[in-house]
Amino acid sequence: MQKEYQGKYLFNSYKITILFIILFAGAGSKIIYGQEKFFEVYQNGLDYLDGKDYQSAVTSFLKAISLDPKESVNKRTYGMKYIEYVPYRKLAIAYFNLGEKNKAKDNFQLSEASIPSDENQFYLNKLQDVPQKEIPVAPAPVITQNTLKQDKEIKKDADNISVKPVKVETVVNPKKLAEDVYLDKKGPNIIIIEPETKRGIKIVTKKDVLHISGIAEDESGIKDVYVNGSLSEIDEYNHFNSDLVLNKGENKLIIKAIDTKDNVTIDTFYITKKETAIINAGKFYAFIVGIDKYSGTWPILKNAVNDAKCMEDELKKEYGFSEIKALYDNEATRANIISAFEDLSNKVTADDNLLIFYSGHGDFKKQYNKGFWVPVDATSNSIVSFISNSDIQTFINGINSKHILLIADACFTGDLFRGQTAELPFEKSDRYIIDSYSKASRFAMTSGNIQPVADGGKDNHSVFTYYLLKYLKEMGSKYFSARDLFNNIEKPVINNSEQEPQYNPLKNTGDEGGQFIFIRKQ
Amino acid sequence: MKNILFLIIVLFLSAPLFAQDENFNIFGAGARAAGMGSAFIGLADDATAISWNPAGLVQLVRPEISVVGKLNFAQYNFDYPYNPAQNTYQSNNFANFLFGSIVYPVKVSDNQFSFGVCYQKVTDNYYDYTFPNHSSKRTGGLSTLSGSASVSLGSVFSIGFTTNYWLGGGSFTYTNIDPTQNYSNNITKISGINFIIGTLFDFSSLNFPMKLGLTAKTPFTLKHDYTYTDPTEVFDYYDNISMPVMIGCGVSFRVNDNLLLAADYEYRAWKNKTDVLGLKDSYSQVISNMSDMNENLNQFRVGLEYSIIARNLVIPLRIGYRNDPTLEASSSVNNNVTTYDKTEIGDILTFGIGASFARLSVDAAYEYRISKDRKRNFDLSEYSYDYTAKYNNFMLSTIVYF
Repeated sequence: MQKEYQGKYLFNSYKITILFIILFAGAGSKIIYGQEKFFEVYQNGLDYLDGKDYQSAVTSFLKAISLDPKESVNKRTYGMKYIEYVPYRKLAIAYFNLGEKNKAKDNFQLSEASIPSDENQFYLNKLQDVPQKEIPVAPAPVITQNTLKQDKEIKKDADNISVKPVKVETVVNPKKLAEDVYLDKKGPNIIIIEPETKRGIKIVTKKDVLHISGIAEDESGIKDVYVNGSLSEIDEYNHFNSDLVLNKGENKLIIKAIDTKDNVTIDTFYITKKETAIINAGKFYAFIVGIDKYSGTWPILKNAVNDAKCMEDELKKEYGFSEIKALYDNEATRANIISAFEDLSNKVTADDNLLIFYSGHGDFKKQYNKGFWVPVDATSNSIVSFISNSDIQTFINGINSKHILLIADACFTGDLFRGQTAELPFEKSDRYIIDSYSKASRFAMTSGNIQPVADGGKDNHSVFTYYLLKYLKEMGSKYFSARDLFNNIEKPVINNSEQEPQYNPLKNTGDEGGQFIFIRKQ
Repeated sequence: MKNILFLIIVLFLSAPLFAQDENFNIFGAGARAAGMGSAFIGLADDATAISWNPAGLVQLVRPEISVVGKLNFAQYNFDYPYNPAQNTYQSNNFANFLFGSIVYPVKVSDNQFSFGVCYQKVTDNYYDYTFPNHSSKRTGGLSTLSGSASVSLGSVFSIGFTTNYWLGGGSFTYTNIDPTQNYSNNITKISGINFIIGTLFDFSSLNFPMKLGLTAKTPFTLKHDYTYTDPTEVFDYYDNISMPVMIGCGVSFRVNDNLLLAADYEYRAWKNKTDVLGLKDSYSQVISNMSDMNENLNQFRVGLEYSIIARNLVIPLRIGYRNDPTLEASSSVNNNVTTYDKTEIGDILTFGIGASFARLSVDAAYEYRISKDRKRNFDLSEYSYDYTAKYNNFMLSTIVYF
């Protein structure tokens, strides 16, 4: 009889075992998966923090915040276990230890706003003593479905990269919708952790690689994440990483996350890699002379001062000339001009660049075989008040500058050149710019040869200066040489006047074959 | 001679099972659960889950230790309608160590594993009655030593197993003013192995704050070995109890951070489960049904927990109810034939309070049981009596979080 009962027990055991095997198989097939619990992720973060693995701690705390952003001094986890849940504060501590002070400050302030604490205050006080070098930052963008993000630019590096989240698209798998009891209609959320906004200056060149890091999250679990079409590996926290090789200008970054229900979220970003400093240029000085109001035997000019002022304006606004000495009309006496050259010889250093622009009368004396600038105080044909081209060369020779470009829109200025030095063959390349800048240069660009030039021209400018200004405005690249500029203006000037503009090295002034490089402001 | 002794044994074991736990309403331990009417299968989120639903252990992220003690207050009334002089009021108060467990969770890849061990005092046989001409005293009880393992398969589903090794001991001593009638039974060995298989579906990770638990306790034979002693005889006998399959399901629903509701249903298949009594040196056996009415038992348990969340302290308040079906029934005896008419089902109200700190949680529960009157009628003889029992338990639990 007892054996009979034992047989029944055995039978019951089999039934129960089969029941649990079915349940086990159902779970094993991952039919039912959900998201992680915030306190597990938070606890991981605390463990990383204890282990001084601050980067991993940041990832965990960001993840915890994404799961449950509400801080609490007594947050229920499981059972009767309540914890102090302050992910912003802990995130701030991790950032603090990573040296990311602004992020630390932002998160301490967030935490302090929700749960004031001595710890927040302690760190915030410490952070007040630290010089802030980083730019302010917006929180990492949390992209939700069907959201067209505000056109908010997220500065990656102060100068070089901007990341602009543009559009988020969510595609719900209609087939899955029909067959699923738990209607997960949402595409995954994509949280971009990197590129972040406060990493300081980062030089990015053509071959530079931008690290993309983020988290995809979805209540149904994440199946795949693609970065620009390539399948990205995801870790247990659905954290994905990818390296993006940046090209100059705008780069498109498309992050596609697919959840286990085949709902898709696509985030599109534009990462702009701005052109980077390929040369380390010193200061840019300009000395500008423009004279209309001549007297005595010298006729008044119409456009010289306007040409000079427009040149000053262009150099100041578009090219970042930090120090410009300008002498107009009555200021442009012989003494003042020479005095200005003396000042420049004291001020300009070997790393600096100097552009001299002269717009006024010029003269050529056959008996001396010399050309001259005519200052405003010259009232006769006597050379007493003139400044000879050889004097100009002497003054230039006395200025210890990396590059000097003399632009003279005056008669008979071609006399400045009397010789040739080796010049790098012009080409449109960064290498040409770098090589040209590396060698000292003393060039002059003149509106004509040893000949009279026209004062009248277009739009209240001389023909030469008209095209000079035109191409200063229109040169497309950030860097271009004076040779490149001259090549552009030479033909228009010849075609529109009787002048033959010249561009040659200044003799005996220390030219080494380099080029004056214009660097346009961005 | 042995046949006479055997009759004594049978009479003894057929006597009313006074101790409350002998009804084998076996479930887990813990004052938190007790305060909620012992509705804990669908919750099972602390270290006591080994005894409730081992699948729930995966909810623990950090190791935990739990310790549970119990104070028992029992009052019994024996009313003899045809012999009022025999009316007796008895009271037994005693304490015991009810439960202790250690749980250690481990996370491997996406899966949370938890391992635990526990000791549980399943039944406590203690009573001590004193009548005018005699006294009866019983001690000891059943215990389990258990090992548990559970794993999460995804963040919703988890499964767990507990293996229970049954053990225990105790004695019964009858003392009469006539010393020749004195006798005693000493338990020399208790043995048995069974399993608890539990599953838990935690839908909170799908943003639906509900949990569903299913458990099955496997049937097994619970073996007792006894030694009988009286002034003239000493012999050994056994008592094999067929323990039934017990299927439980529970649901818990967290209304908000403060309020939690829970309900359990447990089915115990006592029908046709037997108690086999026999002499060690004989093939003779007496087999009787464990349930007087030979029926399966159903238990319902409901409870709620409301937590007052302060800055550094959480105070949970709990209330619950469970019914308490027993294996006994009202009966009458005519010509030595016992007739049963109705299973005794008690009602138990529970109340609980606690205090939770960062590393420690202390809970207390009070269980107030009212047993329905049970009549034992022996042909309206002087031995006929009505029996009423009231049990009140106070339970204290501590859980330490690491």
